[in-house]
Amino acid sequence: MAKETVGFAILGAGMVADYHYQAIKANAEAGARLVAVGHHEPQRFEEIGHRFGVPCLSQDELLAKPEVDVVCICTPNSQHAAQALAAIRAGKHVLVEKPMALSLTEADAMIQASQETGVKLGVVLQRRTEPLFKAVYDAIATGDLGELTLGVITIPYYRSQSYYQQAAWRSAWGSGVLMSQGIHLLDLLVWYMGDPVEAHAFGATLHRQLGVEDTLAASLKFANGSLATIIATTTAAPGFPHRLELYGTGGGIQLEGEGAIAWQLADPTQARITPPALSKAADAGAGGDPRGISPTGHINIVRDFIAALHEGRRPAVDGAEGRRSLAAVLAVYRAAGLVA
Amino acid sequence: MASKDGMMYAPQGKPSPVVKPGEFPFAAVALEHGHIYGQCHGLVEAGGELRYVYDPDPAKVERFLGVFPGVKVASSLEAILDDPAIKLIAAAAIPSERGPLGLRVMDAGKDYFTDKAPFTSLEQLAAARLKVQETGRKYLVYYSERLHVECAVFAGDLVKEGVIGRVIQVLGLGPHRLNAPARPGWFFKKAQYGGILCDIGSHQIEQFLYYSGAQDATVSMAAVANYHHPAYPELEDFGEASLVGDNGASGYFRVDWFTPDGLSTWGDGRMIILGTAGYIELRKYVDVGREQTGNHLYLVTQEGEQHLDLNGKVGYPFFGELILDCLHRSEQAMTQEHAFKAAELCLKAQEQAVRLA
Repeated sequence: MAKETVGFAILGAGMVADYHYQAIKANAEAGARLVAVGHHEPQRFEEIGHRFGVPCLSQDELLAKPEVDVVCICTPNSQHAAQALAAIRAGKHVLVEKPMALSLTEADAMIQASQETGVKLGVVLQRRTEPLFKAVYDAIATGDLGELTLGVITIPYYRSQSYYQQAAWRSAWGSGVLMSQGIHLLDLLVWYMGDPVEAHAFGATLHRQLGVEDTLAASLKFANGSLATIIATTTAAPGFPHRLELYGTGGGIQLEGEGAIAWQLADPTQARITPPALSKAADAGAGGDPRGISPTGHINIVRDFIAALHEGRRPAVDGAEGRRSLAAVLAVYRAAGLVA
Repeated sequence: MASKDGMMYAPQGKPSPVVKPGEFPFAAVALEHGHIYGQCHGLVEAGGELRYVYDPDPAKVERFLGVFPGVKVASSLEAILDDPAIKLIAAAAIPSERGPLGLRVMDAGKDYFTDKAPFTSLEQLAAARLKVQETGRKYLVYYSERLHVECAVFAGDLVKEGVIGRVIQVLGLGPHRLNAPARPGWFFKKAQYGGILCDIGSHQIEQFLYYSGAQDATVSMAAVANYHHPAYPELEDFGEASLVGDNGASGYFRVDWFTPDGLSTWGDGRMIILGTAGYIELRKYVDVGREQTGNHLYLVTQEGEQHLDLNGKVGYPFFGELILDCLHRSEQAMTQEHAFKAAELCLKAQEQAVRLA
């Protein structure tokens, strides 16, 4: 139902909550208004309330507020599914941070619940809303790259021991390099190349005292026979920009950081999608510092979510789409023996 | 502003930014209390440009940047004091340090906007009075329980328009949740926080002066106690005072740290303003047992009764007025004397308070 104001609540008050806060503020003209923040520690309610300028409440109180239309779930990964289900059952639309859940059973429960109640479920895989990554999708869809044959994801990130020590959930199961940092690029890979049908992988904890992998190498096969490799680590000091490379029979694209460093077609005169201006040196972005992520993606995805509410359509990355990267990550983990 | 439609009063709508980007650059320092966020949110929404932040604690700065990204981190307080472009410094220092910080800010040619309470001693107040005269700068105070609460703002409009006649009593209740584990060390040291009447009592006294129109007052009774917190011997968990305004108006308030965990907010702050022609009750943060929202105003006049839910309907004109006052050297938002007088009376009340327990 279209409404002038869309009331948002943010569940969680950590680093990514700040991005949602910025995104809601940036979408004020579209009707977005932050109404409340939710947290599990009552002794922090006052401080969090001061910080965001809205009441800070428990999850139950937040879900009971009629002015809350959308709940942004910004809590540790293992809490996403239970909280999303509670919000959906309370009749709230849900925008959940990646990963939407830590198992396909949970993801399916969330999708089903949203279908039954009619609320919208969106997953914050915001790169799909960014112009560069959309252009790549269009170039593939229009056939500019021909048949895709090979994809390569490289994630040479650095996260210090203190990053993991600051919050215990960051080294708990479900927070390894592929699920936490790598899922954005893996989502782009499945968006571009399809869902993998087979995986082989090695995972290791090479540098940190952690319960999860900090380094991973994987190979994927897709339904049409095309292949991809993934290499990822959080041990590559001082942090390097990630890369996503796609090669097809008609051309190839190399993305590094937030820009394209190569976009070459066998026959450039036949290009249906105009290649973007190329970047030279890439900024490490989130490679070295999790705060290096720009809020633009979050602003875009909140804008899309509000438009989806007004227009009665699916959000850009709905539950079914968000499930695809989760399935790919879990397939790689299974192949590496990191999960049953 | 209130409009009258029959007997029903309604707010006219929220104020807009008063300056264009870049016209009012300001800085935030001393992030000791969460109120600094409210101070900055208010100024930014009124069009101010938050340009710098400084605090010696990098964790506080990082948290601040999460809410205000794009603000530059200054290397030192001096760097901000030395920047001629900065017009005002907003700060929420440890209360006993607010006065001395304000003197430095005014010496640097800037206006100062501090969290309440603005001083912990009458000597600090006297020094600030001199400095204001000497420099011509402003020493402004964030009396948030009126300035940043929509029903309290609207109550002020109703009072100024004479809707309840002449105000003869302002009755204030300022209960707060203690939340001891979340408090910094200075919160429990009297020399640093100043005592309960100086601290959360300052809101109450400012409101008494504002709603009654009194320019000065005497403290006819004041009392403090530590009834229930032997683990924090320097904490005052209860305080009350009665005042008589120079216009004869009566004021009474009670402040405490006894809000139980079951309340859905941090404190059920209320006010009843009695006039010769009617009365106003404010339930600022919650309508207990009924509505978990705040900003409820109840008005009773000769014509009838009215309840107004003022959430999102009034805005906070103080901040835009403050910015314009700084630019034009006027006193629309709050007079300097009013800001100081409220501080003076809460310090006097604290000094003369008898100890109940």
